Amino acid sequence: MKKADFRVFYEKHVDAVYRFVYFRAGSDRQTAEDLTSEIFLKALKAFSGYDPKKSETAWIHTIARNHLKNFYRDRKQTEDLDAHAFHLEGENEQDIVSRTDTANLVARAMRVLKKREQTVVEMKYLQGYKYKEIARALGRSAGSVRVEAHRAMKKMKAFLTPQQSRVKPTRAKENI
Amino acid sequence: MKDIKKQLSEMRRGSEPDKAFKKALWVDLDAEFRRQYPAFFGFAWKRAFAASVIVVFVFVSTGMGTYAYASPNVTSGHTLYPVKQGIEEVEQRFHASPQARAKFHARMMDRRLREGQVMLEHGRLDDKHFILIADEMRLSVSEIARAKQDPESRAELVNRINMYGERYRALAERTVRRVREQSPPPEPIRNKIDHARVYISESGLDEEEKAILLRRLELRFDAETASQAAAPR
Repeated sequence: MKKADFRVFYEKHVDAVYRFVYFRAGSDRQTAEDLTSEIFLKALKAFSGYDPKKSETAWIHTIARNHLKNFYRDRKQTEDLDAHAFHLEGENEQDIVSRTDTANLVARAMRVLKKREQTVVEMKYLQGYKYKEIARALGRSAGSVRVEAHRAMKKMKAFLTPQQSRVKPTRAKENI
Repeated sequence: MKDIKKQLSEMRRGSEPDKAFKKALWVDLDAEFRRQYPAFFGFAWKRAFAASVIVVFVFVSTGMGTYAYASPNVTSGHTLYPVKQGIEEVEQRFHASPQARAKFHARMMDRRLREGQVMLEHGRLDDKHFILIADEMRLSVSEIARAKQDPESRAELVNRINMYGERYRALAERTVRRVREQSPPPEPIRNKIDHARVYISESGLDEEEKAILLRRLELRFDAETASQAAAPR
């Protein structure tokens, strides 16, 4: 196995994997960093056995999902990753207060989507994959992925429009 | 109300991993790699490589290999073509950097084009060979995109691929003309060029570099395919 190949793989997927765990670990950076490190160490150990005919994206995301499930199992929390996805609570109160209402609303809009729609929107707009890569990872055509993304965005827009008209701008918490 | 895509972009920016973290993680992974794979050339890899080198040495020392490697007349179907492919495969392993690999694949594209010329003269040029040429172009273009090189070297490589792209197009045109003289009518040849077009479009090259290569590959086949369709059968 060539280190250069793994380096290319790492550079290509590290941001996406980080974001994947970040949005499922209460948006806590420290936890996301720890999990991302552990996931890539597992990927490194398994890389020599990786079949290049299969999608790289699907492969690393499978490792990430399984690792997250173990993480929640160890904390005696539900292993259902969907239940944890896009909750921006964080563990730091400052994080909660400083987060804009817009980010919270968008996260809630993501939770309104069906699982397939959420996956496509997340992979395209948050993780930055191209439609072709997403299609390969999900075993679908690029065209159907594109249509699903478009429909999901319409749904999110329909959810957000009445919500955002009620949102008042927030200010940072003042020191007492 | 902000556009939903802009809001998602903000969310994406807000969830970007810290650069220092990514760098530190790679340092850890690098150390772990060295621990798991102590020698870059594993013993099994060494044996396979040594066997290939011995075979190549035998052929080259008898002169057969030199002829096989150098001659464009040794094409697919020729007895010595497997020897040629074997030598090229061994040669490929000596090119480690993306820049060296880009030059190597550019040279292979040139070789496949010369073979294509010979095959055309013998009426043996087929779709498979066009795909081989397009593949070498794809590999060279993707290595150019990966290589960190000075703009001058990069421009030189892109120009070289550009020239080969022109020869690729010319070869495809000549093939259409040649086959049109035969019956039954040829299948459309545009898809041969489309392989290369898709590869270039999806490569990591700059937009300007892509435009240069794609312009050369643009075929004036609309007139030709229209005349094909209109030609009496």
